[in-house]
This record gives sequence, C-alpha cells and structure tokens, in this order.
Amino acid sequence: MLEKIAAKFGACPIQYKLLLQTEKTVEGRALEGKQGTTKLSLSLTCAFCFLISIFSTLPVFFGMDVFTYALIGITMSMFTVGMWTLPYFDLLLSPINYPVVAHTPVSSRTYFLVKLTQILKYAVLLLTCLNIFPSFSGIFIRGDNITILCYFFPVFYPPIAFMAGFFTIGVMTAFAGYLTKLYSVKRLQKISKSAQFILPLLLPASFFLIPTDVVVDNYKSVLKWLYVFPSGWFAGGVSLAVSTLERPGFIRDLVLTGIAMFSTLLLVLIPLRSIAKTYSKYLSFLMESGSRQKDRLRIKQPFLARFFKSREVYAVFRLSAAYMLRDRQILHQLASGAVVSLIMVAMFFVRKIYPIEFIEYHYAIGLSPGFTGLFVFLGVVTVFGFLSSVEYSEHWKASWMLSLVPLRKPYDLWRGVVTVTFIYIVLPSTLLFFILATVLWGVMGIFFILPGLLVVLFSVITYPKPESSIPLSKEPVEIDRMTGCLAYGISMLIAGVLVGVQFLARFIHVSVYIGVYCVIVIGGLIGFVYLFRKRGQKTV
Amino acid sequence: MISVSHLTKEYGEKKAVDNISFEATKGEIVGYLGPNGAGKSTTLKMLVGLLQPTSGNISVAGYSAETELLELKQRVGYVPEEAQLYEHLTLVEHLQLMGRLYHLEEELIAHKIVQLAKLFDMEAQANQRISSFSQGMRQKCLIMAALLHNPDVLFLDEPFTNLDVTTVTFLKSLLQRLAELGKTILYCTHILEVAETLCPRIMIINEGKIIADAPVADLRQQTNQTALNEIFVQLTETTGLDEKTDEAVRIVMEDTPNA
Repeated sequence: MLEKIAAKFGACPIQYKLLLQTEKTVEGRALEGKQGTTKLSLSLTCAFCFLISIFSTLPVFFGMDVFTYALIGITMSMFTVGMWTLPYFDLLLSPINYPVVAHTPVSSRTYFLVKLTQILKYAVLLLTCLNIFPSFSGIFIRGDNITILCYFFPVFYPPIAFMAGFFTIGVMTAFAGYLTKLYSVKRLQKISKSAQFILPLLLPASFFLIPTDVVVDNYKSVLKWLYVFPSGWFAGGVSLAVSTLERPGFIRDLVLTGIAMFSTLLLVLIPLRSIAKTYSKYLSFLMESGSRQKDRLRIKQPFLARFFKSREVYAVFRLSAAYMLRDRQILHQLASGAVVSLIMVAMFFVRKIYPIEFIEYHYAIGLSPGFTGLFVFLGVVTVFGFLSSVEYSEHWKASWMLSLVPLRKPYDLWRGVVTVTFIYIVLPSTLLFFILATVLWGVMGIFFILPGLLVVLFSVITYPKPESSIPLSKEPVEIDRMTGCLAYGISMLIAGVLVGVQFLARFIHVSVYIGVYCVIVIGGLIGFVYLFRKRGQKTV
Repeated sequence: MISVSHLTKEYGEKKAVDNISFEATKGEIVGYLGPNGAGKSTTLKMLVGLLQPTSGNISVAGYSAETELLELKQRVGYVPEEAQLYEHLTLVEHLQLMGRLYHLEEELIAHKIVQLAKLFDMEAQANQRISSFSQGMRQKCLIMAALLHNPDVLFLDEPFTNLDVTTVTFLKSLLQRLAELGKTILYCTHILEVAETLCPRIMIINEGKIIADAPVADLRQQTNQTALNEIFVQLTETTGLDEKTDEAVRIVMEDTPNA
C-alpha cells in the first residue's frame, strides 16, 4: 500500500519497497548495539510510552477541566517524543548509507520518501503508544462547559496530539540542525546521549524547583502564562473541540488552535525542507535520468546593498553577518550569552528577586528603571558578546585579504561590524522589548524603550575597536576579555546613572522629570549621530 | 609597470630581501625564481602593500607604494602562496566580498562570478562553503578573486600549486593572452618547467639578492646549460651537488651512531 502512495508522489514503487526493506534491516542491526552497549530497543521504548500514557490519564480522576487535562497529556507526549528524537535523530536522518545506492539509478525523490516513511513510521508508532490511554479516558471528563462531543474524545484528541508530536519533531530537528553549526557531529552525538539521561531527570527535579504552591493556589492567574508554551496551544485545540461555544474561554481556545496549526505547518515544513535539501546535496550524485544535470549559476542582486553608501562597509557587513551565523567561536559566545541572560532573568522572576511589579513600577510619564535595566542588561550582554568575539576567528589568517584591498577609510571595516550589530542584535531586541512594553503600557511603551535603547546604541558605538579595525583577524587563543568586561562595566554604570538621575528628578518635581527625560533622550540621540559620523570620517 | 629600486627588508639582523632593483614593462611576464626562503614571497608582499619595506622604492602601474598606496592596490591582483580564505563563506560570497572591496558594481560582480565560475569549472561548487573545497579548488578561488577587478599588474606566488593539468594548461594560456593585452605579470615559483614555458624573462633570487635577470636564452648562453633547472642549480648552489648527494647518502646509510 505504501508503495502505491509513494508512486503517486513520483517514486519508483519497486525501488521504494526494496530500499524500505533494506533500511529496516540496517536499522534493526544498528539497534542491536555494539561493544556490549545495548541501545534502548524499540519495544522497550513503546512499553515506556505506554507507562507515560497511563500516568497521563490520572488527572481525569482529580476532576480537572478539559484544557488542563489535555495540557498535561500533550505536555507528557511532546516531552517524550522530543527525548526520543534526540538519540534516534542521527540514525534516522543521516544519509550514511547513501553511497550504497549512489551508483544505482535511484532517484533522490524515491530515496527521500523512503527516509520520510521511516521517520513517520516511528513517530506514529510512538505517538500512538503515548496517546492511546489519554484519548479513551478523556470520555470521563466532566465539567460545566462540556458538550456531548466529549464522548467523541478518542476521535478529537489523537489528531491534535499527533500534530503536537510532529510539531515537537520539527522543533527538535531544527534545534539539532542549529546545534550541528556549533558542534561537530561526534560531539553532538555525545551531547544527545547525555541529554537522554539528564533531561528526563529535570522533569521530577522541576517539581522541586518550580514554586508549586504558587501554581496550585493561583492556578487561574498562572494559567495565562501556560499559553506561551506550545502544549498550551494544542490543549486549546482539544478544549475547542469538546466544549460549548458560549463560554468565556472560547476565543482563547480558538486563537490557541490557530497558533498550534500555523506553527506546526511552519515547523514541520521548514525542517522537512532542510532535510530534503541535505539529501539533495548528497543525492545529487545519484544518476537522475541517466545523466547529471548542472544547474545554471544565478546570483541575485542583494537587496540591502542599495542602502549602503560605502562598498567597504557593505562588504564587511556581509562578511561579519555570515561569520556571526557560521563561526563556532562567535555562535558559542552569542548562544552562551543569551542562555545566561535568559536564565538570570528567569531566576529573577521565579525567585522573586526581580518581581514583575518592579518592572511595572514607573514614574510620572511611565519610565521604569526595572524595565530599562532589563533591556540594557540583555542588549549590552548580547552586543558585547558579539563585538568581543568578532575580532577573532578560526580563519584569522584570511585577514590578509582585508589588508590587501585599497581602503581609504580603514574604520569602514569596523563600521560594517557595527552595522551588523545594529541590524542583527539591536533592532530585534528593541522590537522584542517594544512589544513587551506595549503589552505592559500600551502606546506609551515607546517612552520605556528610548532610554534603554540609547544605552545599548552608545555601548555599540563606543566599544573599543581593534587597533587595525580589521574584524576576524586575531587568533582565538589570544582572546582578551578585559576590554569587553571594562566596556560592559562602563555601560552598566551609565545605565545606573541614567536611572539614578531620573529617580532624583522625579523627587524634585514631575515637570523636572519630564525635562530630564527629554534632555537624556534627545541629547543622547544627537550625541549618538555625532559620534557615529565623527568616527566614520577618519581617513588614512 | 613595475619599478623597484634598492628594495630591502630586514627582520632584525637577517636581510630577507637585500637591496634589489628591477623593472618590468607593460605586457611582460617575468619569472621570479629562487630556492625556499630566498625572499620571493617577501618581495611580492612588499610589492602589493602587505609588508612595509625597510628601505627602497616601489612603483607599480605608475603609483608609488609610499605615497599612492591606495591607487597601487586598486591596480594589482595578488595570488598568495598559501590559500588562506574565509572558509565559512561560499565561493560566490568570497568573490562578492572581494569585488565589493575593490568597488565593483553589484551587477558586474554577479556577471563576472557567473562567467569565471563557468570558466574555472566551479559552477557546481559556487554556492558551497570553501571549507568543503579541495586544495585545488581553494587555489582556483584565489585566482578568480585576483582576476575579478581587472588589475593592470598580477603578482602570482606559486599560483599553480595543487591545480590539475587541465587547469594549469588553461591558466598558462590565459596568462599569455592577458600579457598580450598589456597586463604585467610577476610569476613567482620554484617549478622551473612552468617558468621556462611561460616566462620569456627570468629573475633568480638567492639569499635576498637577485643573482640573474635575463631572457632564458641569454641565461643558457651565460651558463652553458640547456635546461633551466641546470641553470638554476648552477647559479644558486654554493656547494657541489655531487658532494652534497654523497653526504646525504652516507647519513641515510648509517645504522647507529657507533656503527
């Protein structure tokens, strides 16, 4: 039957069947393990999933509503599928056996469909095991807004849970793809093996770490924060299917279902496209229709180029942007900075060191030192993370090219780097905080952004440039953290002074405060433009 | 096109290039030969502005390296000895970077990249990262980048390293045609067969000093040798080749220090 479906997608049914059989044999043997280390067999995984499935049914006996019940079941299912994807990812997705068929007239489409079938087969098998019990026990949920459709719970729940599973696989695939940029394949395999043990331990550990009393006592108020998590979106879908239309949470469920469907489509299609791309790269060596055809090389005119007056600035902008996303050293620095920042912010929130009230607390026209502090902290950490690492590269010896070219203003090279920082770091983080500020304070949100944005902008422009102005020109072993630390300390000091001055101004009078605010923002912007231009005028 | 007078480069006590002077006219291909460490690459690095000379004057394409370095740099193409490249870039991105740094228009850059990639048989690899390239492909990247901005003078430091026979043949032909069109080429190598067929004029540098500068035919006459490698050995070897070989054989054949 599968062959017929594959044939409809343009695959050769005989080759498809044979390759699928071969894949099955190869996988079976790989799962047998080697050198005494037995891998978790598929049957054991299924049994484990059944166990989780039974645990997921328990909330039905505690009288929980549909949304919470679905939330728990889907979260468990997504978490397990995510864990499962880690160790099996390499086995399923790596086309390690492609050279075996490379010399045969197998089309890349047939080969890709074989791989896709393998992934789907395992995904469906595991998701069935995970969701079979919660689907049936859902019939017994009782509540005010439940309709007769609740008896059809086993019909509605599995497709949504499956969608959540595919979404998770999509996220994990994309995440694994990103990690391959940071780490070598061998290192990644080690990480996935470690994650297999460590991450399941986090689940019970989270019961101790998360302030459960807050969750239990104020469930209704905490609930809205759960909509942020993907499992909440899918739970909204289940709730929408079996609950009445005339209830308070209808719009919420409708929106959540929309987000769930859109994100699944997006995340499943993107990794699939990426996998297909990887395959086509390898499988381009397969003989398609008896001969290899070369694609004609086409180069698109870059859209951003027209916005740059200086060709040098644009050239280095593109170089630095490419290295920002591809150089392990820089990626590592950015990722670790972002993770540390987020963990710290999360810790502040969870442990009430930095309560939400402090962020919301504001003066006169609504400037919040807490919010500014948070924006400056995250912005400056990321900016300095990038600027301090962009001087270094594993390919530092290639910087001879930047010394060879005729540069009238060597500072233009550093301006390219600065532009990358503005476009790739400052702009997205400002937008993010602007959205957050708008949520908290409405249209007045812009006033909360400006002081923090100024500090971040100044931190970029005043960051001490390397002596030669040439980025990616130093060997990573020479990394000098002192410059970054010093600049960071100064930025924090400026941010502190900025907040302090406003605080004092508010004590004097509200009109003084408004005046001080305007002076800081307008003066700051003028100063920034002046400094930016002045630095660019330096010639050889 | 190239004028060098009393050029010296010192590294502490050591003189890597010692008071050399020469000239190369428009359309000339000059072979710059010498043993390892003779000062060939150092000379080239000074000529393209990558190294500051200790003393002496350089003029390339009518521009002085001391006072008009930017104009000079705009008119030279350089292929270095080692293929050090930004390996996270693709071939297209690398050539775009170089084209932009030489102030070429985007449209022209794109057009030239497509044509060069086709000529150097790199179309299939054009959008692949350089890190996945073989040494020969990296060498092609360097050559394409050096030709991209239509330079008046080409400085080539061992340009045929790691290239296959077909590409070498094509490049030799290309360099000859470019010279006919008025480009000056300083070709630095220690592979004498290529220099002999490509360069009508040969300069030999040894221990930082130019010890010969003449057409190949004149060098043959001066040294009474027919092959360029024999001329080279005669001019650069300080001790006799036979004695040196005997000494090497004796060392290789020794079993133990006391034997």
